[in-house]
Amino acid sequence: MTWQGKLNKIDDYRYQIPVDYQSEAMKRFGLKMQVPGIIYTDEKMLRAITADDSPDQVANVATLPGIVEASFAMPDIHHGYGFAIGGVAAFDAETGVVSPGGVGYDINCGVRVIRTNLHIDDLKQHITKLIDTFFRNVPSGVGVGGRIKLTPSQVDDVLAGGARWAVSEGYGWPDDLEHMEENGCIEGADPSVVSKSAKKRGAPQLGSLGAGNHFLEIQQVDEIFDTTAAEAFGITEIGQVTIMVHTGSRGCGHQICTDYLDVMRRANEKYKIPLVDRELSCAPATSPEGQKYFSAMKCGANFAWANRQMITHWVRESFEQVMHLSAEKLGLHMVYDVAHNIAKLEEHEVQGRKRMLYVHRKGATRAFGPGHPVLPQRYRAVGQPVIIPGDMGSASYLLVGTETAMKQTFGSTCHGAGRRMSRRQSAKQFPVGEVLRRMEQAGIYLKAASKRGISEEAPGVYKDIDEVVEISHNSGIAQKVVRLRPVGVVKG
Amino acid sequence: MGKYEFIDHTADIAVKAYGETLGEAFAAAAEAMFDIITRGSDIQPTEEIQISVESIDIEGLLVSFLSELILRHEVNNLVLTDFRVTIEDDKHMSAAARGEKFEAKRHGHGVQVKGVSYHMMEIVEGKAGSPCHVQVLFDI
Repeated sequence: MTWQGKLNKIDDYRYQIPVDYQSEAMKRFGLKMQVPGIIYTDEKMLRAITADDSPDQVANVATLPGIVEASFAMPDIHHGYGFAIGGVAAFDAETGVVSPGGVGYDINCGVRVIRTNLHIDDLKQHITKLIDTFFRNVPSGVGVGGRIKLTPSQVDDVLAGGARWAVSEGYGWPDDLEHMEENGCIEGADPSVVSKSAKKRGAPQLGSLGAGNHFLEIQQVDEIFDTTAAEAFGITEIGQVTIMVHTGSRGCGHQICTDYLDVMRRANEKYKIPLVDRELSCAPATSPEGQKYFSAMKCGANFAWANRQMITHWVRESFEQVMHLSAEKLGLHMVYDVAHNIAKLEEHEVQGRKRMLYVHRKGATRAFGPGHPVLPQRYRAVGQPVIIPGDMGSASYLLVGTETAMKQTFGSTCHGAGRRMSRRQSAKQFPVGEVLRRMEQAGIYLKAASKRGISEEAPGVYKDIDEVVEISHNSGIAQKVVRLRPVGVVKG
Repeated sequence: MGKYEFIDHTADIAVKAYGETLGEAFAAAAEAMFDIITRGSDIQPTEEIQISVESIDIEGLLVSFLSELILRHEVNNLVLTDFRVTIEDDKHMSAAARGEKFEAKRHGHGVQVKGVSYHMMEIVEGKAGSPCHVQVLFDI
């Protein structure tokens, strides 16, 4: 099914869905777009985007009350439910809405990068042992929980304290917190608005990778595009080793989303907000339902930051076990940690006026430009580090946020490659044995919790990460800094 | 015709499940979900659970039912089969199921279901003689 709607080309990397476009669903419910849709893409990638109805999802979001400027789609946009994945939508803090669907089930699914002072030549002979040690020390896979058992009051501390809680419990270094979005703990997270179910689901899973596209990778710097920004990130040479962690809030966040989708459906009736799609369920930002969701979402986000923080601690321990040197000596410092499924209350300039907005990023990364006051001193001059994970066979990228992103996309950019093939199709097309052989040929050691995950996450099932990043770079909503190539992978 | 079939979706997995009654179709959707979670591995019916859920409409009821099962799976470490569903009205239902404790070696070959979405949802009550079906997309 190819999307047949109207698209106006703004420039080589931006296409607009005009405000008078009506999707079938909009016609059915008699609703109109309040602002245009803007898709960041190029001519080639556009064909993949219009292969399904994700542009309709971009248009549908534009019908929601209080949406500001446009409903944006990042270059890695693909079909989601309600909101497309790779979507950015900002709603006025007074007249707008908040929506769990605009964040997704895996609240604060995100990525972090830790650098080392090691060169790949010094580490080559240890990769297998390191990955096997990661695999032992960091729980992963379906139905596999964490290593620690939390009491109910500890769960509340995690939800309120995020990575700050983890560091206070001895997982990681105080310096880590400074180099994370929201310093690893978003303020205003009230554990009392999170259901017992969500806490019960989360408690045994804290400090685990999970399954699906989540991973833990050892990488080497493959190319440096911007030496000044790279130096600020602590990356100085080709071949330098980095570690990447990609996971989220596990069952805790999933349950918070489930719980509040139900709350929002009831709120939609109560506040009479017309919808083209149930997955766009939302509540006025100022309503009790809206505020409770926002606070519960923050709890989910904090859970994820604590989760990635604990994994970081075990990564450092693993390095110490294998290399017989301290993590400090090995220079295992945090570069940055970003969320790519989250809603934030942020101040942005809209047509010359400063406004408070609920910015929803679903499969999109914050990309604040140089000089932004929330950035740590280290990155103030270059801009916020943006981490874009690729598939396990190709590459990942570090970028920096830009002034263009601040002006055009509420300081947002893409988040990854995006699937282009269903899991069933991938199992047929990429048999496990062949994927393993190809990974080995590429010099990548893979350890996976499940065989099935190997075909389902095969490099070929994702869009080309280089193309996605190129569009972000060329359109100016982030600038390339470093390309990273995997050498060892733990898959959930 | 099987009790359920999988429908290809780029990022997630959708299921179309059938039954003589809507209750049977709900039960088949639950079977399908544990098929995804355990990759069709054998589930021994050694313990029985009862659940009841309510929502604002029939679609919400299906989502709440399957979400409750995910919760039982993750919190109580259960894998389930043999579902029997009684739909009282559009807003209330109860169900029983049998199953056993999750064992990574035997059941851990599938994927994790994060949530149950309303996307692509269809609930069709068959008219005389034709079966009912439900369609639901799992976020994985």
